[in-house]
Amino acid sequence: MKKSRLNVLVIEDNELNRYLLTFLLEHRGHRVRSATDGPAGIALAKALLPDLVLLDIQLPTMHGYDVAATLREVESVGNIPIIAVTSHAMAGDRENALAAGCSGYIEKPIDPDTFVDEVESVCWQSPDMESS
Amino acid sequence: MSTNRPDDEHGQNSVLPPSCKPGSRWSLRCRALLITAVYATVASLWIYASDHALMALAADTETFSRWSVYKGIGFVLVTSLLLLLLIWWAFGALEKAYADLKALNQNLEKRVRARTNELELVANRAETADHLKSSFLATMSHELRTPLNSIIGFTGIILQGMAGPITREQKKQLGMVRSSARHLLDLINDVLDISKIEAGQLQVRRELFDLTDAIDQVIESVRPLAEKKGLSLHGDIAAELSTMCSDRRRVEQILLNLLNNAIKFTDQGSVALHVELEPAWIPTTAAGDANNGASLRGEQPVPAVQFRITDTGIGIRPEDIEQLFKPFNQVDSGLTRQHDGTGLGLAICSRLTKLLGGTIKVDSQWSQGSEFTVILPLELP
Repeated sequence: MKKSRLNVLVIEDNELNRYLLTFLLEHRGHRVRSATDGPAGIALAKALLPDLVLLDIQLPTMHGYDVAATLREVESVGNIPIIAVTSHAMAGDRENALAAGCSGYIEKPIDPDTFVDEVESVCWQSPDMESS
Repeated sequence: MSTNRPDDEHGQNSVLPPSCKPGSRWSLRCRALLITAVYATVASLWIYASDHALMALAADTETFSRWSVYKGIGFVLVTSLLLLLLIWWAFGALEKAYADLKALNQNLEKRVRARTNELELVANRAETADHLKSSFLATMSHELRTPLNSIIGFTGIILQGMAGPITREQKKQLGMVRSSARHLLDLINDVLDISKIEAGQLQVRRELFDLTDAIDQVIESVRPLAEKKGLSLHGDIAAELSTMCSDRRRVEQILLNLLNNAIKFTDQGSVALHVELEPAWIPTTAAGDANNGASLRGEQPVPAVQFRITDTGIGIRPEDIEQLFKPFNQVDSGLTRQHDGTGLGLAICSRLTKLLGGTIKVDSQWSQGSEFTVILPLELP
């Protein structure tokens, strides 16, 4: 069954982008919490057990791929869909993100008209969401 | 002798030890021949003349035979001495040749080692430079897109009225902000694309996709631009074509670039894309495109797709065609103000075509129109 109101955790270091993602998601009625780096994001994910994690890849202190891999190893949050939101866009980035355990990949700059639709479709396609 | 020879680079002569030179080998043989000839003559004369002399000197046969034994022993002693000298001399020459060779070998080893170290150093330096280049590209890509992400994102939010109502004029001006931001993004993407290709960072993906679907999408995404300029836009695909196995995103990028260009440089008339099957295409260098294909020569014919983009625009002067596929070369600087763009589109098209194993060429009549032909193998090798 689809859950129409998602609890989203945004892990993004850039303040403006964090605000942008939060605004877009909240405008569609989702609840958003955010963290500014990897370790804080992992701690928050364990505490909140969100429905979805939006993860920036170029983060200070801890790389986004490592954050994704770490989240996958924790039993309580291991099945939460993770969407990489990255401006990296180099050869093999998508493959690397998926290999690190991300369920989806959205390239920056995001298109505000379609961004939330993309996020929702990744989230609702994920097998974990079917049962919740 | 040659152990301390300076490390000269004067070609073959320095590589051979002196005793191995053809000239000295001949003189060696001549000397051996001369010695043998002199020996044979002297020995024969000795045997012949000495018996006569002995016979004249010796009074009786007993004395004669005793003296001839002494004579024989003396002959053997003298010839042994000669033989010893010869062997001594020959072995000396051999020893010297061996020492020369050994020294040369060591010298060569030293040189090879030095050269190997040099090459390793160069390779390491190149690797470091390559690494720096790609990490620079990744960083630039991130740094440039991050602020654009905010600009495009927030403009979109305000334009959609998500942040509250706006006036018609505000909407118009914000639309301009957004289209400028998108243009800036296109420029950044083009510059990054060409840099990635030049740095060998761009990899093509091989996937099976619906060609008809891809062509439809490409045509539909440029249609608004053509309609805005009042141009007729037409796309057709041969019935026998259905799927293609290549990098869809890159194929679309090439076609979008060429179609956008065609529309940009056409003020009236039409722009068209014709897609046909080329059942037995031999990958060769296309005329008019210096960037393509020496490595592809001599290959077996393969099925390929031919994309033809035609327009009725301003065309290209023959003298400009050669420059067309080089980066930062928008033909005729006078046009630069009139037709904005990076001047990178065709350079990117040309390089992407090459990466996808194909060729690109152009036919154009000044003020009549242009025709770009891209041929890509139906299956990316």
